[in-house]
This record gives sequence, structure tokens and C-alpha cells, in this order.
Amino acid sequence: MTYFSTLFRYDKRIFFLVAAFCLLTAIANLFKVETTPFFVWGMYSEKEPSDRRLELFKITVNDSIPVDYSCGYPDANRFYLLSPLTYSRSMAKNGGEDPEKVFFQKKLGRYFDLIIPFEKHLFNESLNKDAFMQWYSTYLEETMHVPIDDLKIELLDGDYNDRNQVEIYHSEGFIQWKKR
Amino acid sequence: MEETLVFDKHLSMGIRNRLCRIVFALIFISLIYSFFSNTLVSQLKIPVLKFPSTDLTYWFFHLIRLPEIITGHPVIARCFDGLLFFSCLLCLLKPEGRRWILIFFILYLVYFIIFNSYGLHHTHSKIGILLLPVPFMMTDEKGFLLLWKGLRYYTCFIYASAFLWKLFRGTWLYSQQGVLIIKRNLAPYLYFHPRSGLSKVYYWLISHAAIPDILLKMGFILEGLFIIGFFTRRFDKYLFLLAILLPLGFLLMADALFFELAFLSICFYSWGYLVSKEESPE
Repeated sequence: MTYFSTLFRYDKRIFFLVAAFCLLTAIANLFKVETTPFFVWGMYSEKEPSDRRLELFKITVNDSIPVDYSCGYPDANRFYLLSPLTYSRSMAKNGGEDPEKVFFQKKLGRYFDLIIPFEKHLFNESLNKDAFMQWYSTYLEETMHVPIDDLKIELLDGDYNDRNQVEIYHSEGFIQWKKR
Repeated sequence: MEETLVFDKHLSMGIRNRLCRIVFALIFISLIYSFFSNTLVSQLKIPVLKFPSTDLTYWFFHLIRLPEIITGHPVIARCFDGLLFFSCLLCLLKPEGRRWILIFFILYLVYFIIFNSYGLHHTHSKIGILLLPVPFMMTDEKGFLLLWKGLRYYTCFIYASAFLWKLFRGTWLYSQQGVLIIKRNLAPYLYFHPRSGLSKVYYWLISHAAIPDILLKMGFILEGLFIIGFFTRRFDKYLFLLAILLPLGFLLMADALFFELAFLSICFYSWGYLVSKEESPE
């Protein structure tokens, strides 16, 4: 409290800004709804499901070059190589619809109508695999410094075997793209 | 409560400027890292999917179409990146120039939103950089000192709240948590490099689930130690080390590099330095 009283004596506007920041951060944590800059620092506190199967992406460039996104690239680069694929997979699973839009439709019910005028700014339109792959191949070219004419992405379904090694049980084509 | 330190008497303007230089040197390094990671705005190559999620600040930015305008035009994106570097460099060279610190803060906030929204996941690693310039925006010395102190409390809050989340969710009682985090996050590495030396270490950890469990519980306790930081600055040198050690733990257990978050450790370094100055006989 000494800190806040010093802050109050120093400048009331700064005091109210800092106090509001603390209060809104507490509310964000209470409802676990994050709004920048009121962050929720869970840090792996959610219980990990033990029955989750592994789903990995296999990326092949120009029919022959496998992309190892697990190492060899900086972490932020790996994030950009993997996270958009994971999201596009969620969209594909959702019939091409943005899962966030479906989430809000469920949460808001009839009040969802209020955000319909803004939906194209807030949600992705139906998954356009061609446009997505056009972007992804350009980003991958920038990363790998290799011209890309052909890109194949497969989904590998697997789990850890008795020796604790990753074993793939099934693979299926996710997206195949060719430069026009 | 916290012991009284006449901190404003001891943090001279020279130290404020020195801290500002250290902070912006670290930020500059992180921008260079972003360049080599191909994650500067102009390197994102006009991304097509976005993720404002439930964050109203992201909603606001996307409603005014700022991320779309900046990422959608290569020339604007390059100018934005250039300005981000330039403002950071100016803050580093002229730490007394508060206007540039404010400009950098606004630019970095936009970059933060763009990085997370088009990365399709709201990561926390860059928050350290978002918050570190804030105290330097204050016009006078006392305001800076108060906000720098506030940032130190916030760093304590980050880890203390992570501790409390694990405590109240009961994760610390779940013995499989550590090994399951490794299994989920390291799966791509173990798939691509089944025979590497590091993979062998992870196989060993996975087959001895008690070890990741102990490591996770140790991390949980270390996070809890930051609660002490609310009451005293006496242990700041240890909290400084912990604020570096914990992101290394995330890297080992979850293959996630939170190095920008480790920059916040500087809040403990400077206060520890002040305490030692105060306690020294000279």
C-alpha cells in the first residue's frame, strides 16, 4: 500500500492509471479473459490431457525437400511455420469456417447479430486453401531461400510407442499446391 | 511490509539513462532476432489468416484495419520496420528523448498485435518488451522511479500468478503434467530427429516421468518465490537469476523460447544494485 500512497501523492492521474491497470488485470485473471495489456499468466497451468493423440505436419517442398520445422530455425520462425498450419487445419475440420466465429456464435447466441456488421474484420472468411498456400509458400521461400513450385502438406497421426518413441500410424494429404 | 528505501535519492538521472540504454540495447537485439526469424512485418509477406480472438484490443486494431493496412502493402510494411528499428536506435543513443520512447512504444504495440494476430496464437514472450519502455516515458525522475518500481512488482506478479494458477487448478498435484508437456511440445523434434543426442535425453526423461514431475514442481516453487518480491527487495539478486532461469526451464520442458520475457529480470538487477549501494559503508 505504501507504493500506492506514494504514487497518489506524486500524481493522481498516474495513480488512477496504475490502479485501473491492476484492477483490470485482476478482473481479466478472475474471468480468464485476456485483453491486452491485461494479461493472464497461466504458464502451463492447464491440466494436460493424457489421451491426446499426436498430430504432426509433414511438409515437402518441390516433391523432394522435407521441411524440418522442429529445429534449425529460430523459435519465432518455427512459430510462423507451424501455427498457421494448425489454424488452417482447425478451419478445415470446421468445414472451412473460422472456429472463432463459431465460438462467438455459441457464446453470444442471438447477440451475435450485433457483431455481424464487423465480422469480416474480426473473423476469417471461409478457408481459401489456394490463397493460404500462396501465402505459406511465399513465407516458406523467404525462410528456406529456395524457390517453391510445389508444396505438399500431409497430416501424420501418431502416438508414443512402448519405447517412448514417436510412431506414426496414419498419414493423409492435407493440402497440395502447385505454382501457376 | 517492504522496508523503506529512499530509492529516489539513490537512483540518479545517470542511472535512469544507463538503464534506458541497457533496456533498448536488449530490445534492439530482440529486433535483430525478429529479422533473422523472418518475423518483421515486411517479412510476413501479406498474411491471409488473422486471429483477434477474444482480445478487445485486437478487435479495435482490426476494426480500424491497421494491421491489414500495414501488412497488406509491402512499402508501408518496410517503412514500419524501418521506423521500428530507427526509433529503438534513437532511444538507445538518446535515452533522454521521451518522445521517441513513446513513438517506439506505440510502434511496438502495433507490431505485437500484428505478430500475434497473424501468427494465429497470442504468445506472451514479447510482453516484456512491450512493458519495459513504459517507465522511461515519464517526464520527471520521480515518476520514472515509481513506474520502474511498479514494473518490478509486475514482474513479481507474472511469476506469482503463474504459481497461483497452478496452485488453484491443482496442476502441481498432477504427477503426469511434466512428462505430458514434454511429450506434446517435443513430438515434432523427436519425430524428425529420433536418434539425436538430445532426443535420447528426452526419451530418458519420458521414461522416467518422475524427473519431469520434479522439474515442474521445482519450477512451481521457484515461481512462488516471487511472492517475496512484494515484501522485500533484499532477495532481488536471486529473483534476477530466477527470472532468467525460469524461461530456460520453459525451453527445456516445452521447447518454447521466452527470451524476451527474461529481459524483465533487469528490474531486479537495478533494485539489487541500489540496495547493495545503500548497504555499502562508503
